[in-house]
Amino acid sequence: MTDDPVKLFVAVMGLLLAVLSWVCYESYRKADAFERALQSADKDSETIRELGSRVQSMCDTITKGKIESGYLPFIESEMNRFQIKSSKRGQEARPKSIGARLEEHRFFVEFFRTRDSSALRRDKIGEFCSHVERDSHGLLKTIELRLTRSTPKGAPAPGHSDEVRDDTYTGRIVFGYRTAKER
Amino acid sequence: MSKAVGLEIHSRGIRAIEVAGRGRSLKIVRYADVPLHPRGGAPDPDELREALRDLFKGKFSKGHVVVAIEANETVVREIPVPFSSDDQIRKVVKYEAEHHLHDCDADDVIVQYTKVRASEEGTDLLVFAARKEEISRRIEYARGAGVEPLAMDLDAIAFYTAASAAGVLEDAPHCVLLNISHRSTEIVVVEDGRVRALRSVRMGVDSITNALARDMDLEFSDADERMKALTVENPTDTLFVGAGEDSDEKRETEKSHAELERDLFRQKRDELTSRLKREFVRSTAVLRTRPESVLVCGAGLQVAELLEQLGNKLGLPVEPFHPSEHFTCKVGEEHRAALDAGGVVPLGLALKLSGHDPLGLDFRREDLQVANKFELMKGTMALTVSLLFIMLMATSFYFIRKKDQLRNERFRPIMTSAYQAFESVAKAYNKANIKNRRGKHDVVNPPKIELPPGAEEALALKRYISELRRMDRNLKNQFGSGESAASPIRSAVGIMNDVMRVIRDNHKEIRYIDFKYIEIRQEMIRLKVVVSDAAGLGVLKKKLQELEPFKSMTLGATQLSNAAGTGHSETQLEFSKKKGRRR
Repeated sequence: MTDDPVKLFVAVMGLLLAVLSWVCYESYRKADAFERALQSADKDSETIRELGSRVQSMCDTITKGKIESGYLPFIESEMNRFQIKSSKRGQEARPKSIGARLEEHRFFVEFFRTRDSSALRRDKIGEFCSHVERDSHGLLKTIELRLTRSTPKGAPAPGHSDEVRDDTYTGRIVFGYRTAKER
Repeated sequence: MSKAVGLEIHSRGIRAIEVAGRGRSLKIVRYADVPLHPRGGAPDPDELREALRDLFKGKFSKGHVVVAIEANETVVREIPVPFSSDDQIRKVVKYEAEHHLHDCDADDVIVQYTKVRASEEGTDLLVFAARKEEISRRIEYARGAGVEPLAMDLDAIAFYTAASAAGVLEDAPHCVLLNISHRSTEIVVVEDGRVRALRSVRMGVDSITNALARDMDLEFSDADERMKALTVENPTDTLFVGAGEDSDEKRETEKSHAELERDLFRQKRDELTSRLKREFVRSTAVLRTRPESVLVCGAGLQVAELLEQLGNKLGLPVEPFHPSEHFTCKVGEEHRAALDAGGVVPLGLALKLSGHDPLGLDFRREDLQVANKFELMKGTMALTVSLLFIMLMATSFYFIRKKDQLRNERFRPIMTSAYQAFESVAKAYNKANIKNRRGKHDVVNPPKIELPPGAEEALALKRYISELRRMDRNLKNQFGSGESAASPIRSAVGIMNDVMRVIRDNHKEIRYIDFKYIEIRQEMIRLKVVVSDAAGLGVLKKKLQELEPFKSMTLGATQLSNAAGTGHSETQLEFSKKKGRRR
């Protein structure tokens, strides 16, 4: 320890100034860190909103369409609703590759010729497909439609009802959705 | 430096003045004139120390004190040097001065100088050499009272400093300053407002007092009292008070005694003014132009009619210099007269530390330099440190406040909305009953955020994002999310409905149509139709080709054939995607 009061004074003042400078620097550093954290939080918050909105919309769609258990049960429930009987239905084992980046997940329903009331008219097929698309809130789309007239005579064009004709079809309907390929 | 004290230790006592402020706000706040030994001669050291102690025990500040050295104890010479730069002058001035110091060694004196004339040949310096012994003695006296003088200057130069600070040298740049003290008179010749010459002559008011004492056979103190009596406004009426009570014979004797005394006073005053005139003429011989006026301070101001007589002899206006007329004075009215008579020198000294030091002389040099430089810097340092403290505190406060403001006004809403958004998504996700990879119900619990949030709480947002991405991935895996990256699927049933709409809208032209086979894929559409004739088919083809996606497809060749048993024609329409050319 020094006896010189000047040195002592200078030392004490220096120490105090150093401490205060440190406090000042720390407060600046914290405020600066906070500002940077805020900018990052702003971006993160935007990401959360975008992601959240997508997930929420998807979840709402799933909830509203009651497709929680998967698309095949959903399609089956729609068929039951329309009293459509299929000879075969299922999901294709592997997704179909669409270009380099996409793949298509496919669910098919096949109908064979029947003579009972479950025989499918074209307009009923159209209605069924539209309902599947609508009830899945656009998640599922009718990818493929292959219909073969199961009766020899066709229906007259609308407005030409000169004779009543049978208009039932057999065939295959493919529903599906596309996703980016997982890397 | 807010306060400064000028201290003059002279043959009759001590005078001190304290000033406060700087520049225009400068004011004289305190004055003291402590008489010590009216008998004359050197002051009694013990009595002087005691008086100084008493003085500084009072209200006078001890911090910034400047002490005077009498010019008559200093050797003053005009010395020419063959250069003009201060550095060169400083190096040689002491050795140059040594030639003019006959009774002492150069190492025993402190030499200071001021430039009085500069020419191409060099510079004329007015050099002052003060004995270190004298300087040390004054420092010791001051230290005895607990005071460390920060500077020392000549009394004559202090008068110049005071006159310069008062602005009188601007009005009279060619003048002579006379400090007529008890034992000596300092003559400062000022030309163009700058000191041109300085002389100190051992001749002062005491020459009259000594003559009175000697010729009237009085003690010095009694003679001094007589002098004071003679210096009142009308000296003839004040001589020997109470004479009326005595006999006529005695009165006559006393009258003649008074007349004798007055005559003697006048005679000695004449001698003093004559000698002053001689010295004045000698001193001003160096000037190119005649001085315009004479300013007087010191004990001479108290000698009756001295200034008038001197003015008559010199043929110049002789004016007293009264500090109270030039500076704001907070000293009581009862002390004003004393201040005006004796306060000029201490005032000039105090002004040195108040920012007015035109010559910059200081006799505390070399080994007598102020050891405690801290004293000089204390005030400035304290101010600087205080300002730094305030600045740092203010800055810290600003940043702390800014952080709080950011936290409460911006961060909190962001965090709250992010939390609410996540909570709502998590609720919907849990309600949707999504399965995880293991086939179990995937339940999401939003991580709680402490509010108000800290910077580290921003990490919670990262956790939200990571959790949302996981949820999104899970949904895509199970349901596909129709994400924007995937190319859209054109609904086959939509196309079929469009075809049916076209037929409905154009049934008059088409007339008859029957679909035997419908195949709608993303890249190809094949329709086997039975139509009435080629015209109906043409309308159908045309209308279809106006529709999306037929518009962007190519229609293959069509050939009509008879439909068995219907009387209509049958054909196949095959639309396929146009293939782009590959390189």
